Amino acid sequence: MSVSDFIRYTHPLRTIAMKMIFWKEFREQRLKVLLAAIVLFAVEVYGLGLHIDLQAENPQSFYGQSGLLTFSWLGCLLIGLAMALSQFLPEIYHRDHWATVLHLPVHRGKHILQRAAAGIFLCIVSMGIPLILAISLYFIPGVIAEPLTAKLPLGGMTDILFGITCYLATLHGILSSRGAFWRRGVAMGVMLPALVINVYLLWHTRDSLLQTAIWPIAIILLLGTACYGNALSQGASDNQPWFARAVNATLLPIALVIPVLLVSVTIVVIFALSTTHNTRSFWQPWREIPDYGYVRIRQRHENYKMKNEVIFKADGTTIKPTDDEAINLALSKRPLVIQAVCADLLNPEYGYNPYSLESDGYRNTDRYLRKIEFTAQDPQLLWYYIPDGKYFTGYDKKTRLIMGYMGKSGFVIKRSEVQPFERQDKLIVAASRCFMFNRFHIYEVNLNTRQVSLATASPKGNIVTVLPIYAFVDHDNTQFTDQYFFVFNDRIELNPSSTKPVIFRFDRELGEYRRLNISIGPMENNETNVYLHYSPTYIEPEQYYTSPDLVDKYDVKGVKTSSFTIPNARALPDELETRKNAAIPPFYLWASTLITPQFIMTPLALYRSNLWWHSEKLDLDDASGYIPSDYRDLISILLSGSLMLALIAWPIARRMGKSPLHTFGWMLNIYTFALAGFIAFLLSHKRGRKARCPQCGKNRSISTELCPHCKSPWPAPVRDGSEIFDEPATLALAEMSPSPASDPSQPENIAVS
Amino acid sequence: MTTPTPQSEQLQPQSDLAPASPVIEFRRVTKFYGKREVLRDVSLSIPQGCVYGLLGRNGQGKTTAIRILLGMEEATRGTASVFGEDSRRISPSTRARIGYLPEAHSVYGWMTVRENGQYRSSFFPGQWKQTIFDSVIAHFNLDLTQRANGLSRGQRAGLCLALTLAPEPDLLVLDDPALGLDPVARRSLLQSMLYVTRRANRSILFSSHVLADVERVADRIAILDRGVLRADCTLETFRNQLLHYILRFNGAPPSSGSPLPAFPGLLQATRRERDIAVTVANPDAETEKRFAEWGATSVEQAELTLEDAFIAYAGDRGGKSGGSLF
Repeated sequence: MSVSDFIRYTHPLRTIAMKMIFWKEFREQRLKVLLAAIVLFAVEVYGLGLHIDLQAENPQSFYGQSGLLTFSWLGCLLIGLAMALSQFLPEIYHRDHWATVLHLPVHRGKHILQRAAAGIFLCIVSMGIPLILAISLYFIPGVIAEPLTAKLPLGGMTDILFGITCYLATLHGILSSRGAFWRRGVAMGVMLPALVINVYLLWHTRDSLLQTAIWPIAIILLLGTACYGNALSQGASDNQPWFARAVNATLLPIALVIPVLLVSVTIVVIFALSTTHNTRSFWQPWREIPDYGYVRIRQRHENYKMKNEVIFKADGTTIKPTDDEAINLALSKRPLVIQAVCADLLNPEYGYNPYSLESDGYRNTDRYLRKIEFTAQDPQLLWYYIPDGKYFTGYDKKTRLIMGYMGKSGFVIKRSEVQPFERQDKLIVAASRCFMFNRFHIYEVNLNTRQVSLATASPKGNIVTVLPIYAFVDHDNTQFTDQYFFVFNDRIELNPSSTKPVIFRFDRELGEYRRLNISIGPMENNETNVYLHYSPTYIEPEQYYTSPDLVDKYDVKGVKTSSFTIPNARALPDELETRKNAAIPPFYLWASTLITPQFIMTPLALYRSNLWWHSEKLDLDDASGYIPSDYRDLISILLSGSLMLALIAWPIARRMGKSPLHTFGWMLNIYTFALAGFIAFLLSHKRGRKARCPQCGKNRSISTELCPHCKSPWPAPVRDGSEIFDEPATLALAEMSPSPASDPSQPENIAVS
Repeated sequence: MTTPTPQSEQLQPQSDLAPASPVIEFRRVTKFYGKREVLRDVSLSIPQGCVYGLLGRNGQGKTTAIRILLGMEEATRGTASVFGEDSRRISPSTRARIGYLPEAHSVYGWMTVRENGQYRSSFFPGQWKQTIFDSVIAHFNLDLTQRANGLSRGQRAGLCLALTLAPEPDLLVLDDPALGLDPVARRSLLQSMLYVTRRANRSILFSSHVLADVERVADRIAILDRGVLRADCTLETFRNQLLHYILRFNGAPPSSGSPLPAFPGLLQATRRERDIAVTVANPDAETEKRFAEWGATSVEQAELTLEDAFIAYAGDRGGKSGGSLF
């Protein structure tokens, strides 16, 4: 359907046929719709965790639970897919039935649009009923602990929109199949705007786009791309003007990009990274140091045993922590385990992530504070708090009524009296205390006593972050304490709630280091030691061996007691060195680079290579043009991978009869889009079967009348003298040419039975 | 409700109508499915008001030709048009003038007979003739409240025909409508078809391999053989141009071990004890000379039924397949 057709299009509900189509689709699909709605509601209830919640004394369920959200979007996608298949597939693959449909005296696009409208309606019914029922659970007392806001159904509606988009994508895929004999792209025209609206909605509601949306988008684009390529390969653009063909040739690679990118990432993740030794960039091996036996630097997220842990001894050999030698070493010399409280102060995004009050999307489960920790201490109140923009809102979990607001000035009853926090404030919460902070101030928020106090202020704006401190429990476990570090760009303050905080000053020039860990060491004489661990290299598996780390040890009063060096691990055994170098097998690297579009991968590689990236928090200019050699190699491989595909395309395009300019354009396209562009190049040119020309003997397309080589037409069927034509069919008779075999003067022999 | 009483006597000889612009036109249509060539250079022109029988054995390209004509397949080469419109871009208004009955007699099985009619009628506002629908339904003794799933094959064909005829199309395209029907159902179907031909200037193209059906209704026939159009003529011409001879010999006829020389138009030769039965298309003066060359002492012309003629014509022929099949 063209744009002008669409504008002239009569509203479907006005036509009798539309009513009948709705009636027919509803009658045909009603049981399936009902079944889908029941199943979806059941899994959504399961996702809400009601089966667990019912055993609890107080309601804990809320609509932002990840189980509900996952089941919801996945269910909607499956319903959309199944609806399109159920609605059209049986007809299309029943050839004569589909022929009857195609022969109906209505515009085919209009007819499909009408049926798609009915299908969308049914999708909305099958997905919407569970959504309504799930929201209705709110009205059952003691089930949902969350107040109902207008924002809550939005996430479910976004899921429904996803389901509809998937329905349209599937519909488009079905209609583009050869059996459907359908190439009008109606569904594509509807699918793409739906997809755009969908993504916009997700983005606008600040959903975690990559986690929840990328796979549906990928599935939809994959379907769309498959049928789009199929349509092009069937000659869909044959009768279009040159600009339409150009648009087609451009759209297809773009549509191919995301699915292909996902495939490439999957290949890398499955094959390359899984075979990489020490894949986590934060992970550091145990190392033997002379004074302490050995040291292990733990990170916050390493609260579990890692596989293949080894201790690098000073002589370069390795042993496992469970080996007798290691145990004896631990018994004879006290091991030092540095428990990092922040992975990287100079790059705080690698550290403990504070919440942003702005991330208040439907799918963001973190917007619900860890209510258990707070409410458990004061069971009478049973409150929980939701950061609502610039202040906290307190609800009663049972009545779900708003009880008050908490801002900078503390707890108030009326909303108009609340003094909001700054927009850029961030919330850090662990154990039973939480802080709101930005560069200029840190507030401690006590939700139990409903008090807010200014913990510290920095007029110069040099506050970096607030760090919760872990208590080292045993080899594999840590837990939060009630203590925090306040981190400034020149010092750290411990125990900030006391009147006289302990201060640890940075004695080194931070600009010379790529990484700074603040760590709590083991208890010595019942005192905690604090370690500032400076790492001069950026943390990458192949990079952190290059120079030794420097550690300053402080006592709890903030006095530096000693410094030591953690030696580098350059003296790796040859075997490990080889393994390290072979972390990313060349084959898979090549495979991924061949299919990864240049216009995405090259900037990504440059970004990751730290060219465009530097720490903003400490205002340090550490974008020193540092490009690890791996990335230089990677970029070069990426470039050559695409280039190779582009070069392969040259002879193919020339053999297709394209002009040099046209060929060059395609090479550029392929270079930009890599394998996606190459596939588009192959698909967008209809390549009919060829046969040998009876005149000149060269191959020629069976779909053209004249041979491109000798300009002769295909010969007419051979006459054998038995043809019977009378007057009105003289045209047919005239076009049949005599052949030597049928020449009456040269009769064939005939056997008689 | 009036049951149609189709009577062939009431039919006007459609071929006598003045030649008008063709309703259907194939121009050098060739169709490949992969490497298989199912239609080759088919050119056919069907005038208005003509009942055309498209004949051929199974798999000779009849259905493909019809699907190309109605825009459900695309020809590899050549063009087809209907009512002057390119088959690839038939407008809805033109489709409304074409009644199409595919061979599988597909209807929505979960709908009742009445609901099938109501659903189809919604696509033909102002054109649907409920009286015709009801008449054909009554002719096939169908219960309006019965689900289509429960209909017999013949009843389902009747329902499909009713759905096809009710909009009173100017052109009726029937793809082997009697396929799989018992003789009674086939006769009913034919009667209904004959009923609709009473309307002046209505054209019908139907494919079949049942000669008796064709003989009853068709003005002209076209025969497809391995995708090639071999005949396009009136039934009378077909009968006249296809002759059967009994050649008698003094003594035994020539041995089957030594092949007889073929000649143009020779379709079939069957050796019996003392004679040879020969079927020839387009016989002329040269034909009897060739019989004489074979050594025949007498030549008798025998009666040939249309079915025999068709079998001789559309059956396997050595000259066409390149093999010796006689």
